[in-house]
Amino acid sequence: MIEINNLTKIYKGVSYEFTALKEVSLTIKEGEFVAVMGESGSGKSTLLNCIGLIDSFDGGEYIMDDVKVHELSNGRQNVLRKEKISFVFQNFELMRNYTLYENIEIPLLAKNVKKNNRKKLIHEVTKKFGIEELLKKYPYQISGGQQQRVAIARALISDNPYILADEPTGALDSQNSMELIKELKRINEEGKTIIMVTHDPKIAEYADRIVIIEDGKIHSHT
Amino acid sequence: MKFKNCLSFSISHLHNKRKLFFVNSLIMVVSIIMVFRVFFIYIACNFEIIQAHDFFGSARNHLYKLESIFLVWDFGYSEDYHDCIMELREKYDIVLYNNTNIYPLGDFKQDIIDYTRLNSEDDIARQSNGFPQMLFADSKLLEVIGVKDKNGNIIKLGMQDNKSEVAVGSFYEELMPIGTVFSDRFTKKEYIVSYILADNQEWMYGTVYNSGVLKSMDEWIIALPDMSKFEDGFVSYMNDVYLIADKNEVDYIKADIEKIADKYGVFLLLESFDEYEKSYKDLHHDMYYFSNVLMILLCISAMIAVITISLVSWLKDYHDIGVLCTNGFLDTDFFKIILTENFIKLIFPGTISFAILWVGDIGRGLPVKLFHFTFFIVILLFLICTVIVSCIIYHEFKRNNPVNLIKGER
Repeated sequence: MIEINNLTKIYKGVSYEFTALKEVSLTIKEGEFVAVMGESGSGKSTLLNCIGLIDSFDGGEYIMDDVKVHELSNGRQNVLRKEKISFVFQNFELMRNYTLYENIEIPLLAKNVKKNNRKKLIHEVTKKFGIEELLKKYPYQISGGQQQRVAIARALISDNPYILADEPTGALDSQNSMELIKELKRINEEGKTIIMVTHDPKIAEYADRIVIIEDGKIHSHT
Repeated sequence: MKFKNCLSFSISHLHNKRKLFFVNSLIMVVSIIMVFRVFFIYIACNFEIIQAHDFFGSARNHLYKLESIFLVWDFGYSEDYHDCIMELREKYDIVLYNNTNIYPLGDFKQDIIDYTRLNSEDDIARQSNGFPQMLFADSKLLEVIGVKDKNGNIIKLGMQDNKSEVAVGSFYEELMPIGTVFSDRFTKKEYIVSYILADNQEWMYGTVYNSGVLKSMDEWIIALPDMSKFEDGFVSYMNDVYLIADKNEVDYIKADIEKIADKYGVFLLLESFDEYEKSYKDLHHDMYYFSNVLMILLCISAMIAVITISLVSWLKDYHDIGVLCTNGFLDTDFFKIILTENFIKLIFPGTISFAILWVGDIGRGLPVKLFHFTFFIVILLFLICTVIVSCIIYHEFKRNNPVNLIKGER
């Protein structure tokens, strides 16, 4: 379970200061599928980045599975991220000069999975997403829809309980978007907790709950 | 993350950036060779001093070099130096290191110093690890050096019943007891064992200032050369005669030595290592200045080139580092990967430049020890550079959030 209380994030520059999250409080239960919606600049991606521990926050409490994240050092937060959180990004964020196999292998390398097991797991997960024939290709040699499936395969392979998706359908056409959201729903039904940022109401409909964020504050839950 | 995985990832990373890797390697090879060359000039200028530092360590603070025109004995040479040194030995603590050979002047029948084949050669070879090491040394030199037998007496080799006396190392004590007679298989010259050497005595190969190495004499046989074969005379000399003294007493000892030397009509000078270094450096002042300036300039240029190319190759990877962060790579993993990769970037060109320099320089007769020493220093410098670059890169990545890294923002 994720519980955040009064989370605040301030971006500071030389001549400006901008509060992106203003004392946001939110609870996400285990196995829940939550969509975060809001206009551009509302703070939804910032919220997701803070929950995903890939961005720091300036105040408030963050508790993940009974661990007080806000009290952890950066190093411990990184370890927690490695053990608990996987990401899917709008632009897929695959490493261009690496084959798809190497891209999917990354989380397993980080977790010191043995070579044979890595191979087995990669073949299992890619078979599930119908991309096992593409493994020797590079990201720029496949379509956007295929790239996003690779990104999801990479997120799933580490078997982390939380999947954070930032506009996962943002770079896809409508057909690929629907396929992807159905895939995410299926993953959620298998027990993963999903927090997804989107601006597309059709996509958000697949979530168990929609959180609307406006000007860095949670506006409503539906 | 295990080292094996770091290595695997680093190799894959380098493979994916192979063009940059080859450029990097090329620059490294050129830089290493350049820095090696200039270091070599510098080290060659300082080699004698480095050797002395290496040989004596901190003991050199109490050692004073006894300089003379030459501490030389040659055929028919005056014994003044010999007597002078012997008197000094009585009074002061003198340490002598010496060359192994006597050097013939003019025409010389090579078989005198050539390997002596003994009738008992097979027996000796069977029991020892090979053939015995024969040392032909001047009797006066042996006396001055003070090579001792088992009873602690200084050996004095001569002739006994037309047989040439030899001293054998303790290894041969049972095989060749005192009184054993043997002869050279070809010249038929006869030898008699007169002394068994005391254990653990050492003899210097080379000189302190030129790759000197001390060797145990336990398996040696010492004999006198046949002087009649030296048709034009010979020289045998000692480069390294040292006096152990306390700093406070040096002025007094210097004056005393001068007095003793005057008595024998010889020239002797006591010099500390600092004085020796100073006079050595004064003598090579221009070369020093040139080599220092060149070394500093070239080192700085090479380091800047290496650091820049390494930084550029990593900083191009902001996005990829961000992706790795979001997929479970930790700070420590990055440091290991950066370090491993930078080491590979050093080892590969390091090996190539070693091969190039080895073929080029050793082929031209460069001393191997000096070559290794210089190369070691150069690689050490690049190694330090590699660690510094790795720390800079690590710090640069560490101070950024993964989200900024993915976006390529700093």
